Amino acid sequence: MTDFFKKFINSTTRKHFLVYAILVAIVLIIGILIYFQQGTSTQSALAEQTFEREEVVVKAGNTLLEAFIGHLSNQISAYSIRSDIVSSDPREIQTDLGTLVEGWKDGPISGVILVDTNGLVKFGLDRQGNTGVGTDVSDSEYFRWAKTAKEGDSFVGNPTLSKIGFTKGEYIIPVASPVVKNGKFNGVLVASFLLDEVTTKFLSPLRTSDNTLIYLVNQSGVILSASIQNLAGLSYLDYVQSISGGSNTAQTLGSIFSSGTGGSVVTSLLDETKNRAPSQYLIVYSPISLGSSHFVFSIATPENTTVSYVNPFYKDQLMFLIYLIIVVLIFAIAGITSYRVGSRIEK
Amino acid sequence: MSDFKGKEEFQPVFYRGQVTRLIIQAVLGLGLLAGGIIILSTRIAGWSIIFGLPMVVISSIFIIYTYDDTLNRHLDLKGHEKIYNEKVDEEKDY
Repeated sequence: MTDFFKKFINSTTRKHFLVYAILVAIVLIIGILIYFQQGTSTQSALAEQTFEREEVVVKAGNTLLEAFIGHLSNQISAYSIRSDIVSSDPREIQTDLGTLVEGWKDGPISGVILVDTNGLVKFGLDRQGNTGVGTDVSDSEYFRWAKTAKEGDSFVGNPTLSKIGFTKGEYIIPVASPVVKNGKFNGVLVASFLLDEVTTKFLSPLRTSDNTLIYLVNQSGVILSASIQNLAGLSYLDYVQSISGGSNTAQTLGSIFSSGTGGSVVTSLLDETKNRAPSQYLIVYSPISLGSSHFVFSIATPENTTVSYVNPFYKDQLMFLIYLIIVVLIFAIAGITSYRVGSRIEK
Repeated sequence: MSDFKGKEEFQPVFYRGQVTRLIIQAVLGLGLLAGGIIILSTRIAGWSIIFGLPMVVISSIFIIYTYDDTLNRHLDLKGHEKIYNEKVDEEKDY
């Protein structure tokens, strides 16, 4: 092989050209490999940054939700010990409930009810004026809890389907506080909020891009709230598993939902905006505990959104590659000119 | 130099169709280079490097080759013209 090259080089009349061709090839190959390497590192650095931004968002969302729940619990506790509520004065109670609901008119509080000792709604008001009076809620966990609770305590229930008012059939979370009169259980004051509105009001503004999806999922994998409306109430694990090749994704998601810890993962999800085609998503998730409820709050950003962040960097790298090619060509042309002119002068 | 035999035997290094050939070579080289850069810029996994890298390297070498070839012929022609003019001047002296 070496002899072949020696013969080839000795036989050619353009040795100088061969030298320049080899040098140009080496410089360009190295330049192009660096160009690709830079692209890969830029993309992974930006993916890392997207993860970090999502982690910040998840933490902010958690804090926001806990602050909201805490504030609402305190407010309900304070209302439950007011004399108007304790004495069940019909003239004052409706005004009190109206004031409470009016204070949350922009959401996410959907309504307030005062339940009597038998578990029937005695007074009520939601944002659309429905009262729900007479509805039996004695089978609810907050009512059972309130019977033995102390005055001023508060309880955050599990997500449940609403039975009253405009929220009927939607997932709500009740926040309750017992009404105690003369040391005896006299009913329970309950405010409820829509999970969907919590997502819209508190979590959606935190999205890192328009394509970012937000999910509130319970530990069984049921979506309680999502930035895509038609997914609420769906068992996401069953949904993903029903799609061909979705068993691995379902396994990954199942372990996330039940882990009780936060983290991040890159996995394939169904892109609802593109005919449910599987797409790679960067997902950051974190557990949230609201009273006795435990959720997983997760943010998923499509990988191609991250790639779009890289484009300006790609453009700069391409400009540098073009510059390198031009410089290499100019040097090669200058060298060849020098050689040719020099040879001519010698002759 | 001594074998120069006069104007009739002068063989110009440029020939008919040389400019057309030069243009075709230049367009081919630059076109291949532009195509290679475009393929590199698309960053299609695998294909960009498989096609883009050889296209850019080969086209650059081809451009250099075309330039070298053209320069060589141009300088040869100039050399012949110079020798021819010197010989004509010498003949005039006699």
